[in-house]
Order: sequence, then C-alpha cells, then structure tokens
Amino acid sequence: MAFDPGLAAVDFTILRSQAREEELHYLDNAAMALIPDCVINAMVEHDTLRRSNVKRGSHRLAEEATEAFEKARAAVADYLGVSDPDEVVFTGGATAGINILAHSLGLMFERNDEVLISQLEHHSNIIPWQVIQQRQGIKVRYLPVTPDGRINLERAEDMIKSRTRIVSVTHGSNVTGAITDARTLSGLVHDRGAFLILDGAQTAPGGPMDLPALGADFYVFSGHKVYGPTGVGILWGRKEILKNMPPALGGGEMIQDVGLEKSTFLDPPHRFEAGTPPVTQAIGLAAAVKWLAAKDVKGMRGHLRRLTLRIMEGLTQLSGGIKILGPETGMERIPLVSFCVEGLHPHDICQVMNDRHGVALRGGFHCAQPLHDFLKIDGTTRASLAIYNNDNDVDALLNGMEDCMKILG
Amino acid sequence: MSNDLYHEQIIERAKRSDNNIRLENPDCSATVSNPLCGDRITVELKMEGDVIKAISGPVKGCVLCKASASILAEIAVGMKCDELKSMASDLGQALKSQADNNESFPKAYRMFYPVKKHKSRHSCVMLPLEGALKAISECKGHSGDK
Repeated sequence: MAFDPGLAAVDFTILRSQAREEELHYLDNAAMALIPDCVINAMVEHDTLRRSNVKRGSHRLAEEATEAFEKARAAVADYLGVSDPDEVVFTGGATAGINILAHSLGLMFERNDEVLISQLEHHSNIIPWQVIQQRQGIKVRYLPVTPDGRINLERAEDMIKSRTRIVSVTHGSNVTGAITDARTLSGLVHDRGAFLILDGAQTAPGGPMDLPALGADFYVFSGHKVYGPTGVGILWGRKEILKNMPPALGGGEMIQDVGLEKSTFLDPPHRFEAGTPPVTQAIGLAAAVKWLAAKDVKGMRGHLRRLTLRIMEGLTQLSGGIKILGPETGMERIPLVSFCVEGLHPHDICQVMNDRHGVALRGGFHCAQPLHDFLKIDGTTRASLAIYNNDNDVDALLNGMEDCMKILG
Repeated sequence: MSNDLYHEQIIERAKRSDNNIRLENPDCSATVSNPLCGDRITVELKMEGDVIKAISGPVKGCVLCKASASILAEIAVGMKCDELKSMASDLGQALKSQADNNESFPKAYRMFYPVKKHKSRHSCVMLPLEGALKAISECKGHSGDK
C-alpha cells in the first residue's frame, strides 16, 4: 500500500487546519522539522510529574528523572542501531557536538597536525576547527567538491596524510542534498589511522539507522531536525575512543573526584555532559525517535524520494532559468532541493512564496558560505521535505514558483 | 498603499533602479553586506565639504534592498552628512516603532511601511543607508560625526 503522509500529519496540531488561519505548506524541514503532539506531551508529562535534576539526588523524583533520562539515552541508541547507550552523549545540538569533539580532540593534537573537512560543510563543521587552528597551530584543509555538489572522494586518498588526525564531513549536505559515501571514506580514513566524524544533522531524520555499518568513529545530530525539541542533540562516539578523550567542558555531573589542584572525571558519556543536561529535551528527543521509528519508514523514504523528484522535474520545466544544485535526478540525495533563479534573489522568492502561497522555504547561504563561494552563487532557495509533506505541498511550490517568477521577473 | 510587503511601488522601484553605475574617482566609498542573505552594496560618494554631490555604486541585493538604494541615490544628492545620518536614524526608528501608520517614516521611504512587521527584512532596507554612512565616515576631512 502506498505511503500516506496524512497518517503522520494528523499527529501535528500545527498541521491540522483548525490550528491556523492561513494555509501552510511547510518546506523548511532541513532547518527545523515540526514537532508532533506526542513529543510535546512527553515533555509536559515529564516536567509535570517527574521534574528533578538527574544523577545527583536520592529522592523519588530524582530517581525517576534519572531513570527517564537514561531510558531516553537507550532509546536514542536503539534508533542509531548501537548496542551500548554509553556511547550516546546528550549535547545541545549538532553544533555543540562538533564543538565538543573539536575542543576535546584538539587537546590531543600536536602542532601541524591536520584536520580535513570539505567545502560542502555547514559553518558548524568549519568554525570549530578554525578556532582550534588559531589556538593550537594545527592545519585545516578542505576536500574539494564536485560540480554537482558532492564531496570529491577521489581526492580524499591523496589528501589524507600521515598528519591527518581527523576527517570531519557532512553525511548529507544541507544545500546540495548529496549523501557522502561514508563507508568508502571510512576505509580511507582508517587506513591512515585518523578518525572519521560524520555530521548527521540532515541524515538522522531519515529514520532508524545502522550506524556502525557507516564505519564512522563519531556521528552528531540535532533533536529539532528529527521532530524533537530544540536545545538537544546527540554526539555518538565509539567507546574505545571516547574513554581516552579529555573533557571539553568542565563542571558538575562529569566528575569523579574534585581537588583543589586536580580532578578526575567520570567515564563517557557523563564525562562529556558537564552541568545539568537538557533533561526534558532528551525525554522529548527519545519520544520523537520512537514516534518516527514506529512509522512506515521504508514507505516514507520512497515517498520523499518521489516528491523530491517531482520538485526537481517540476522546477526544471518552469521557464526562467532555474538551476538546481546537487546530484542529478536518479542519483541518491536527501529529500531537499536547492535552486537558483536567474535574476531573482532568494529572499524575494521566499517572501512572495510565503505571502501569496503559504509555502515556507529557506533562502540565503544556509550557513554554507564557502560552498556558495565555490559554486559562484549569491545564495539559493531551498525546499526540504519531511514525513508529513504531500503532493499538495509540491503543487503549491511549483505553482507558486511560476507566479513568483511572473511577479518578480 | 497596499499592506503587501512586495507591493507594486516597491517592485517597480527596484526594477527601474540602475545598480551598476560607478562614479569616476569617488572621494570615498564603502562596501557593506548582510551575511545572512548575501546582499552586498558598495556606496561611492563625491563630496563637497559636508555635502553629497554624487552617489552611486553596485547593488547586489533583494527587491527591498534595490528599491531602498534607488531612493537613496535619488534623494541623497545635495544632502549634508548630518541630514543623511538623521534620516537613516529616523528610518531605523520608524521600522521598529509600534505606530500603525507610516507617518514616522521619512517621506521618501513611506512605501516601506509594510516592511515594519517583517523584522528580519529591516536590514534589507537599511543596508544602503548603512553603506552611505560608512562611506562618509571613511571620507577624509568630512565632519559627519560632529
């Protein structure tokens, strides 16, 4: 039976027509997915009935909150397909996860060690390494991008040197939609004795995964893109590496013993969770991944592939010089399409599409300015899909774009 | 006036603006950009003391930015630096104000009244003025900050 996005959409108050006065075709999911009612309810229930700090109290509420928090960790481990929940660190989001890695692993670097990232990266996977570069004199180098917006893995073999300690790349580009062949890359990285970090912000929403099969050493993602709340994310790391890493942040909840001169730290994951963690948000994130895993994920993936293809073909058929970024139709990509319209500014397109057609898009650099510089484009307009999007949303996008080009062209 | 953000007056103004005329030997210039959306403007000025004698420069921006730059190019010539500074301040305040009419807007910019409720777009309207003020501040011998 064909996948029915309506069966997911009913779980979202914001998508039920009575909740809004205006039409909404939400196609900005790569920035933030909408949140289903069950996730909100899980957080409300937790804060209503079990609110307490975790890992530090012996009273009933503290015990219950701690148990709920650790169950949330186990739920995320299940979603990622990893057997040990202690490899799952709660963070503030994907950005925080990469920063923790940069600052912790950075302490293990020597001058002139290298970190290899790519021109395809979101700023969150560029800036943390530049900070370490400035602080410690390491080198940050960039894997080139192919003209169709993929990381050029053919260059990886040459570029991963003996001084390369880390290769940190996007698993799925938030601009071009290209998916990185992690398995191939991990072979090259491990052959040189380096670690592979995958930024999974855009691939984690694709449903439960077999993370060990990707061959990465670390994987980060954000709660708000997987139908969860803001302010929470995950850093997954292989335990044998995590246990040898120094903490990036210090504070309560991550210590074993504190002295005036020296302190010792807990084992992972707690070593990397300084201070009160985002308890309620972690409960929400667990509810979100459980909600998604219970859906027809295989059907969802096929449905989103079909809608993505419809958008690509539909935009191509519009006259007016639309250029679509990323892999051609037929090649694998995450469900998003970024495009440029000759002579039109992305912000103008987004505004008209919102005001006249109720279509929520994103325009600009998408926090990937080096990629836009490389592609010599001033910005793009992006439509990104999620489980509740349907053919009406695609129709609204394509019809709206035709109207938009008439008005602004 | 229409309350649509992209009403005809703004679109027409943006369309008829010529954004690529360069001044020969400008007395000063400045480039400003909005990192969020990639808008980038270079403002070139010819000055006579404190008075703007000519203004131009390339504009790479959205409709609001182009329309705003077009208006500035039309009204800035003959203005004193302090007058421009004051007008930019008034426009910035008007965009932020709670008033439900366009009377607080400088007259030439009243078409931007619908932008008021779109906070993320205020910078699109302000960018050309910020560019002009930056150019003035870099102009030797001016007294724009007095």
